[in-house]
Amino acid sequence: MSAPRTPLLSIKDLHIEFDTPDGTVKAVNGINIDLFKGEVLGIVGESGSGKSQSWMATLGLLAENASTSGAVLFDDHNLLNLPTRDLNPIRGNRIAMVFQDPMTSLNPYLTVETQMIEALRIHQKDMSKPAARQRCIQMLDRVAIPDADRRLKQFPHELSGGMRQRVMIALALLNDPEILIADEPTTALDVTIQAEILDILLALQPERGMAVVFITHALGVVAEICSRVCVMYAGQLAEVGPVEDVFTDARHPYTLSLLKATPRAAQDTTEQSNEALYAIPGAPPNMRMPPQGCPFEPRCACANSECSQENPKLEPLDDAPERLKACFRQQSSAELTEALNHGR
Amino acid sequence: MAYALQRFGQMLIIVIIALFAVFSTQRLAPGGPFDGERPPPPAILENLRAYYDMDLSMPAQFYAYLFGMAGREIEANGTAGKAHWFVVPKNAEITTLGGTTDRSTDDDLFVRRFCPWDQWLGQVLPGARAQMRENGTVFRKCGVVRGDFGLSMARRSIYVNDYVRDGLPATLKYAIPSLLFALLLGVPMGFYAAYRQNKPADFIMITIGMFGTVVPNLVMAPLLIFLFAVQLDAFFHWLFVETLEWIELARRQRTLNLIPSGKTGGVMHYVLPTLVLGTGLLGRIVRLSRAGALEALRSNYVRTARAKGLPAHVILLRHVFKPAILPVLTYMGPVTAFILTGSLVIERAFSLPGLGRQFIAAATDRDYTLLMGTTVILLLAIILLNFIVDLLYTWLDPRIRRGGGRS
Repeated sequence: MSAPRTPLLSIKDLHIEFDTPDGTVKAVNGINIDLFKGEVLGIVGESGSGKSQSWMATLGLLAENASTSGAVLFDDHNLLNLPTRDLNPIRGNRIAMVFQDPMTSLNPYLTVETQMIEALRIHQKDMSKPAARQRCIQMLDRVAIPDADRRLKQFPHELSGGMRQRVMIALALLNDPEILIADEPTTALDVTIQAEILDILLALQPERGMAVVFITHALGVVAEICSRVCVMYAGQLAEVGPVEDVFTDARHPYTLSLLKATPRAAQDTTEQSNEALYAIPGAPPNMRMPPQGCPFEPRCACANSECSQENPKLEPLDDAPERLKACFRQQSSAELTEALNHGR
Repeated sequence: MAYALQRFGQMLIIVIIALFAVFSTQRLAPGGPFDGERPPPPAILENLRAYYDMDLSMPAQFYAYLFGMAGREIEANGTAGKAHWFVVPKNAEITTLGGTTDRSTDDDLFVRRFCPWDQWLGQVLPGARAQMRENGTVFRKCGVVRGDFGLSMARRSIYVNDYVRDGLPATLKYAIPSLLFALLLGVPMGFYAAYRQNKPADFIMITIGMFGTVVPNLVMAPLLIFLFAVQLDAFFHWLFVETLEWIELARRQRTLNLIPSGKTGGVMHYVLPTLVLGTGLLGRIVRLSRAGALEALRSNYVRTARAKGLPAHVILLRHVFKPAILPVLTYMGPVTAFILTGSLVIERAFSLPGLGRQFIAAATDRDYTLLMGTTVILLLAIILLNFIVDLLYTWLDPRIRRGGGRS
């Protein structure tokens, strides 16, 4: 890797806790992520691993009962304790977000036009309505929505799911943001639409030079579009690194298990087997009482006594300093896989 | 438009069914309008019953009520200002269907028109009608369908229409302000409470709302009269007359009577009734708008709006207002019923004339026509309000407007 670049946005020791009637849920426990200009960063993990929440926090979109500590540094601001008044010029303008559920993320009571134009004009106060409208039509064209002029006048319920997600993407890109946070943008859509949405994102990203944070649990998607990947488990980072390295030579047992649990079509007939799809045994820890040691230890095939005593820190690999992992085991990928298979 | 017409058709059907229900239940209930402590002599009773069509079978009575079979002379001079019934001069010749001929001999002559269930009843024949025209008599049809509720049964010289015409505006005079009071105060309160959920402001708003709902009008009315009309006046009297020695004031009137406790007159007379009825409504409206706003605030589309960088007031007014106002709007139908029950108490407590008062009188006197009249008016008010609410609903919610496609 080249000389250390300054990150566009960096998350420093972020903790997120939710106050619930049943106790405090520690959703995110001290994560550090740097996001660089123009990169596509994948965030993968199981449901409840805190992957969405940590990025919701950057835009101050957490639920009322959430409390945070740490810092999210962006342009000399700490977004975490920025008052809403100062956060608003950043939201939707310099950092935009696309949400998971296009069915409910658009206001059913307002036309697409109203919802798009307001996003433009709140940040570009001197923009006239016709100009804003023109820009919206342009943007809808860019996300491959035919007949944009007519679509603008429609209400969200008159659009299909894929269409709505495209509107959401157009909405997010209206102000040419520096960072686009895509929170599982394709999860609620069927596979063909997923591919279209990904193509649109992939086409728009380099053209605008924006950084994209792609939150998903689909490893295939990450492999396809991301340059770097963060694997999250139980509110912590398990492994961070360039996508090819992490996917071909995973060093964290959790990453390996995830990869192993990915369904794939058999490459050739000889490989065809009736073997059941691998599932990681056990369940993620209860985040009301996170374990003292490594959170993956109870499910890990490679764990030993050390793992249950102490939580490993996220540290650079000896042989590849741009890669990080949080695990005491220093074996190679092959050795870990062996242990995994054996443990089963 | 087609939707509005369809809704209108439904409305008509509901009105007819409801009319029949009220009509038959009140007549099936024991007692009648002429069963007093001292019942009239049998002959008079018979006349009275015939006069009000009560000698007919029930379906025939209902038909007569709707389409007006009975006519009678109201005033001998034929001006018939208040008459909605058709006027027959004295000595007019009336031929019945049965073939017999009658002569109207007194003021209370009535002519019955054709009725499908009681063929023998007869009708004003063309000859009789022509004769009436010749005599310069005004001919008018009657019946509820033509807006005629008939004569009161308890006070036989007063038209139900007159009761309603006097009573309805009197009721509306405090009902509409109290509804406005509850809406204009309750909706912002509910929104603010939702915006500050679980904070002290939320708690205060809910408490105020709950207080209004929980304390019945029956208690609230005397309480406010005592506080404002009695204690406050006493305080002002003490302040101005006894302490500041404004002798002039003392000479002119004993108290300031700033917020009067009853009767009609200036605007101030409506302050207390409006407050009592308004606070009763307030609680529901605060709760409904708070719940609506909370749901909207928790929605994904409000999260999107926040992610766009919209300031709080834009989010509340543009993104939250419409969905949050819908539950309140739905409540505007039942609100008419609430105002009715409230008016029963309020008109008594503040000595106001109004429909509520007449409603009680009609029920206790078994005044069938008056009871029907007031019920029909309230029924129409409820149905009309529901109709308006439905139209507003479609206007507010585009998913209903275009007929389906919910998500």
